[in-house]
Amino acid sequence: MTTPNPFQDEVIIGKAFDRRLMSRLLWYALPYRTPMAAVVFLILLVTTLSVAGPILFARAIDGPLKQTFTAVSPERTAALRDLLGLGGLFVLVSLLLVVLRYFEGVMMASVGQKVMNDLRLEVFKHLQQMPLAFYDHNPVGRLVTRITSDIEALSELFTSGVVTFVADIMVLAGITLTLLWVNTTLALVTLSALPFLLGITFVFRYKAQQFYREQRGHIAHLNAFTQESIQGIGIIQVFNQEEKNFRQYSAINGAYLDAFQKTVLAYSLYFPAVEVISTVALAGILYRGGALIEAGAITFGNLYLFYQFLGRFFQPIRDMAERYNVLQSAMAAAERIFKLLDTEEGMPVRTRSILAPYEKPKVAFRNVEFAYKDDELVLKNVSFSVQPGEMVAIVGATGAGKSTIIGLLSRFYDPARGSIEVDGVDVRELDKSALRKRIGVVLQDVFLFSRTIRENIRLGDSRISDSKIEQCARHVNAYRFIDRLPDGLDQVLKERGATLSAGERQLLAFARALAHDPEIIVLDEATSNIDTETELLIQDALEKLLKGRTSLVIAHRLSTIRRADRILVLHKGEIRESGSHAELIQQKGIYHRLSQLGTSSLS
Amino acid sequence: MKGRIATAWTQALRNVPKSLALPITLSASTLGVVHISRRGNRGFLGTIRRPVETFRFLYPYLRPHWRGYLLGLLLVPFSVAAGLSTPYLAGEAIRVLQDPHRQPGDLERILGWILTLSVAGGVGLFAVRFWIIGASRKTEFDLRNHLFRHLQGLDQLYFKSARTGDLMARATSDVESVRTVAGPVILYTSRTILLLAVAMPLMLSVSWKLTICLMIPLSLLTLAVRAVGPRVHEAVLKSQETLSELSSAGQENFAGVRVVKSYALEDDEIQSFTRITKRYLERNIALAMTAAWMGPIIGGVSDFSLVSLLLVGGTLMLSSELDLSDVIKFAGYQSSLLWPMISIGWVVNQYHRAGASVKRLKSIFEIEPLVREPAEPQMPEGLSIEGSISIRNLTFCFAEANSRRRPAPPDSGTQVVGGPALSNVSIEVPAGKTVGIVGRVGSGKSTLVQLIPRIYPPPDGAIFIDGIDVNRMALSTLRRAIGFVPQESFLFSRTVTENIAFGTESSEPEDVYAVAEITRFSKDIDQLPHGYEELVGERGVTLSGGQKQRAAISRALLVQPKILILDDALSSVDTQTEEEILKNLKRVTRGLTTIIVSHRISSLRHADRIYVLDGGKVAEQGSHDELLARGGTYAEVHRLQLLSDELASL
Repeated sequence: MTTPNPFQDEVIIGKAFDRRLMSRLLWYALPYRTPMAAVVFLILLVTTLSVAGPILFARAIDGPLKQTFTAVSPERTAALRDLLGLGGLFVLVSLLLVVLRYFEGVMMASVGQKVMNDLRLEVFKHLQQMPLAFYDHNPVGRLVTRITSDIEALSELFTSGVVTFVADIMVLAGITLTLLWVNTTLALVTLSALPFLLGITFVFRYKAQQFYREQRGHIAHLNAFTQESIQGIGIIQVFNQEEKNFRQYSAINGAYLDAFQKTVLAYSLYFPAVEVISTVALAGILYRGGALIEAGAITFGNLYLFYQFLGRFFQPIRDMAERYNVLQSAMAAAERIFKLLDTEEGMPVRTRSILAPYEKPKVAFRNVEFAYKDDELVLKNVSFSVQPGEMVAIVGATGAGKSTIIGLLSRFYDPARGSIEVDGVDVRELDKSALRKRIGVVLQDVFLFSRTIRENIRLGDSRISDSKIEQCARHVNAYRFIDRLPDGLDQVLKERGATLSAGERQLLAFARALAHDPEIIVLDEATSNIDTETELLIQDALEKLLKGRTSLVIAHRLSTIRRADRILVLHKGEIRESGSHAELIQQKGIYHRLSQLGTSSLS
Repeated sequence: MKGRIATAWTQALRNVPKSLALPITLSASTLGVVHISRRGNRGFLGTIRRPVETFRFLYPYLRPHWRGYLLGLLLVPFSVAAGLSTPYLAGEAIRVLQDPHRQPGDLERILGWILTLSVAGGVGLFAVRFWIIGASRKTEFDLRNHLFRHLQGLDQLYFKSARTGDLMARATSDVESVRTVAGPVILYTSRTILLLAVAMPLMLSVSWKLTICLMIPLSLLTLAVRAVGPRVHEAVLKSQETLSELSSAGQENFAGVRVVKSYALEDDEIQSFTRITKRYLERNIALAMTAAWMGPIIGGVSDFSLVSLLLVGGTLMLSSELDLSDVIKFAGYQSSLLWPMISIGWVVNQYHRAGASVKRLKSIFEIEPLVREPAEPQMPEGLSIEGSISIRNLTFCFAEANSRRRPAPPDSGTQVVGGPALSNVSIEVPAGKTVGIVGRVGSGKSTLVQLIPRIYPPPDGAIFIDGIDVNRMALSTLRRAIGFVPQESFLFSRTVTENIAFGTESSEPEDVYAVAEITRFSKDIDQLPHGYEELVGERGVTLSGGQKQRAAISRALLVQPKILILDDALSSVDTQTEEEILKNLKRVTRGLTTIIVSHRISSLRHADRIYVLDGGKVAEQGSHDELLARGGTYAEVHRLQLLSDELASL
């Protein structure tokens, strides 16, 4: 039994040429018009020169080699000299061709790569400007595909698609013109093979592409099936499904084999067919040529020229058939890339970057409502403020909406209703980077880059000196474990710091925040189980980090909560209680119960 | 990537003169610079040893398809004859044309031969390609099947230490590069050898001087391919390396978008991404600069061989040692031999690559599964399992279990080192009873239940079902008796029905509906656009964690097991639904031995006996009420969970 192959649509069938996409693509090539022009010039030159060799050979046959000599004579010496002259010229042309072809190849590839580099950077820059909501809807894998495989597919268009297509046509035209010029009759004999060749190539291209697509679909299916079987191997084994699963695999493998055999058949037929056609053409040339030679209408040299050119005549046609597929997948990739580039940034950009020192509260939420999905309000009418220097803790059960408060304050999202103010200014009015430099956010799930610890603390801010980094790391007790690493601060973290413990990651995040020295710290305390020793280090570090700063802390630990000047109890999207620890305990409300749950279960 | 390099080759080879007599076309993709594998060791010995090793490995796969290979190889002479007859006869035609005393019909006879032999050769060429490449595809089919079957038979412990990506690479690129040896390499090797064997005497009989003039440049071509090919390959690898760096940089940026945004790092990120793309650009240009040599070299050498024919042949013509027809024949041979000579270099490169692939494939085939069928399986009395489970002094350590494997896995990941996951655990589950297991993360509860159906290899004499050591039971008997619901409910990218009916050979739709009803999954299924025929997983709808878990329970129930194991299988289901499912289970699973692993006390309340695991040991045991009365860990956890439930309902 086989499940229908869901990967048959893997290879998008699109247009091979879309004028709109193409002109937009060429726009990216515009900065490189000079090297592009040079490539076209080189192609012309190479095409012209590559017909020179056989012509020289032919001239030798008709010139110095026309007569034979039985003894040394001045005529023979002269003929030998002429032969050497022609041979020398042939050598020169060949050498020149080697050099020109090399540069042609290198330049063509370089230009293509540069254009793609520009486009790739543009896509990446565009993605950097997209709001968080965009990332929520687009899986990382898809975005990675845009900057890798899709761009790669496009680069083929530049390195081999457009330009070589033109080149092929030029070669074809060049040879045709040469042949017509040499002998019209024989040229027509040669050209008469063209319809057959084109016909057979057309059919072949159509069929081969169809088989290839089939084959690609099956191999994608096969790979996905293998991958899934490896991932789900436990289920397969425990349910005794090895045999059935193997049969399914074998069936897909068989379908792949069949599709491949069709391709093999197509190729096995095509190449011999082309050989036969060209041999028939050769026989035609020799037949007509024989009559022409008898009539003295053509020389042996020129007859040889036709013999030589016949093969070259067929190659570009075969190439053009292959080119078609490149064009098609490039167009599909271009479509996807441009669609991404045309996605506009969701949030309006404002540019009030300078904030005056303000007497008003540092942070204020005013009647804020927010929903990730249309009808499910995560925050309902939330209002609170944080005064300068104050530490406010937010507590609540999972799903109460705590993390959303951070998301809104950092302007990852905008509220549906109400407003959020920093220093008395609506965050929507603020330049994003100014806002973010003012607020230091420490997220629960500490994200580390696969770079050095130093870079992870500095995060690209060159104003932070090495000594400051070390100082900050020491201050938040992170230096103890950093010091134990072989390369210390220059230790490269592998796989986003997967080797570090949760506590160590937390300390690094503190060092990071401290180094950037923001006025306001917004912290989502980690909930992971941390050993007692590290726990104490974290408590100590937290105190140092928050000292003298305005802070808003989503707290999970009783010790942190007790330190707060004020505690807000968020429950099901609403602020239900507010006050100091002692006050709230006395109220015997939600906070009271939460505190009974103990430190570990406050999450 | 692949395509781009392939096109770089096509491009490089574009202007190369290929004359009409070119019998086999090495297209850019068959030149195969694209396969990713480590470079083999070079040098003479390596060159000899590799093909031998490779063919020894391939032999069992080639043998069933010997007819195809034999037919193909027998027809090689036809294709060779055609390849050489055209230039020879074309030369003869010129000779006739030069002859002032020729008879009418002489030329026509030669042309008749050209056409006949060309058609015959075409048929030969077709047959050679079709049989040999066709047989190689069948070889590939067998090899893939064999590899898959082998992988599927390996135990979970192996998959814990092996990376899926590596295994996928074995299954794709290594199989492909070995296949190349089974097909095109055999084809080109046999053809080239025969072609040279026929062409050399043919040429030498005309002129040894001219033969040398032709063969020296053409041999250079072989060397050039040998020299440039691996360099291109290396440059390709470097470029791919940078591409994967670029790809992970992008991935990291997109995944870490929250940090990027909260620290306003966008510009810095763009800068560092630009650095990588710049390096990628440089490497690609370096690749282009290497790969771009191939075309000009082939073109150049081809031209030079023609020049030497012209000069030497011309000189010989002037002294009447040769005539025009001889030189033209040689020019024809030149184009017949050009690609075969290139293919020698390619073939050697390919052997190197395949050698490395064979080594890696062999290392996978050598791995023996730790979970194997017993030599003499014991059957339970009455041939059907009652369902009593007895775990006696079970101690299990991943590292120890893995070290039993020969050969040792090359890359034992971090997960399989460390002390025992379980020590001295004893649990009795009478047939038809329900046992609950609780414990915090890492207490070993999941490992414990995975040992029962031998997902991990248990030691001998530790786990018994109906009094028989599970290691002595036929795997199918053992596993057929167990319905297992794993912690991570893995679903396949198939339809809902196919996933639920996964464990059965055939099942009625009513049965599927029935189990979905028990697990409260049916309502959710009805919400799906295609209901039971909806495709789930990567290419279909994404189910929520709770829905997946209910699908997984349905799957386990449908096999009508004697023993049901729920490995924390209700963690993503809300409390109320959990209660309903448990109630349903209770009703339909009367007489079913059940083990429920959970971190939630509520799921265990009704178990006949509950075990609390801590650090791989049994810390507490007893019924729900007994454990509460004891006032230990269980009682404390229970109190906290009641509180959270209460809070949630506020």
